[in-house]
Amino acid sequence: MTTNPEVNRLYAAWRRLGVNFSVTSCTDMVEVEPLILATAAVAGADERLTICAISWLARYHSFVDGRRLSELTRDSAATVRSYLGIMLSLAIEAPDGAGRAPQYEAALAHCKPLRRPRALYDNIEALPAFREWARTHGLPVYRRWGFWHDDVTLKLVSVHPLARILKVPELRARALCGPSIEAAFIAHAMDRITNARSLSRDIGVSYAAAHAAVERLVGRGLLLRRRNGVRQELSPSAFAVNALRVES
Amino acid sequence: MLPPDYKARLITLPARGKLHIALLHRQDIIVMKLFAGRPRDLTDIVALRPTPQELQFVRSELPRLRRIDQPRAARLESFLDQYHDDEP
Repeated sequence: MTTNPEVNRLYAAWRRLGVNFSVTSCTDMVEVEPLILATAAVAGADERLTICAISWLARYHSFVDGRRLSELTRDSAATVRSYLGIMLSLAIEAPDGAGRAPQYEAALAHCKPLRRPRALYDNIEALPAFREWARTHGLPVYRRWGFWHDDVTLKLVSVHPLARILKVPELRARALCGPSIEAAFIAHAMDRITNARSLSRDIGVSYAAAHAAVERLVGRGLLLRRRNGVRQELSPSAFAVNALRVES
Repeated sequence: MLPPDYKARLITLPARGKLHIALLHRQDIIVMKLFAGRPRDLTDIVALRPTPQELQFVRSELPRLRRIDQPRAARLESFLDQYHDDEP
């Protein structure tokens, strides 16, 4: 735990997604792409959070919705985009990295280097002796995004194996439906009766996109649609419930 | 990079069955962490709040540390010179 409530919130969210932080996992469903952006926003403040998140991104890039990440990145502050740039680049290029992760390409296209280079982490930037060390020993992958740092070691040992990741309902839905709005909708609809408007609000997508995704899920037999007066209620089909149920 | 006499300062906890635990002394941890100088080490240093005596001990270790890694020792010396004006 840290003294920063936002960092603590992110620790709990990453814990739920399978990063072995010694904090209590959050109980609410986690939206992966907003979590990645939120982590980029505080990346300079906490090395352990940052490097463990990058390790997760390296190992589980197939669970990330590249289109949604790209849209959120486009609307983010310039500094956040610089930090996201180095996070995604490291997830791909670090010695233990993914090597290739096409899911990140669209988001990376929105990322720009910092205008004024600085040490990657705030506590290094604050200490002249260490800042100077980072500046002179900074590795090219960091310099490309306007940062100085000398270590590209990931912490893959802190990321849970796939079998455990697949017990997280929202990731299980992504494994079955692909990382998409559909997966987010199915995960959200698992324990409640909902409708397209609520889903659009909960996930943060337009009503048109929500409606189209619902049509696809109903068409594939994963969601059931029932009329209740003027409302259309959506619930998961027995097939979807069986597929997404986690055996304990 | 621990001081050669660190064992003399180990703090031994009461044994629990077959489990024996010895803790490094604060000043040895501070030497180790300041020499490594990773962001997580600096976070730990902030939490440890080294005393002037402990920093003097770190300074006394500089000749030995220079033989291990001259650039890192120079960084540490520079940090110690700046520390009083610019605490982490």
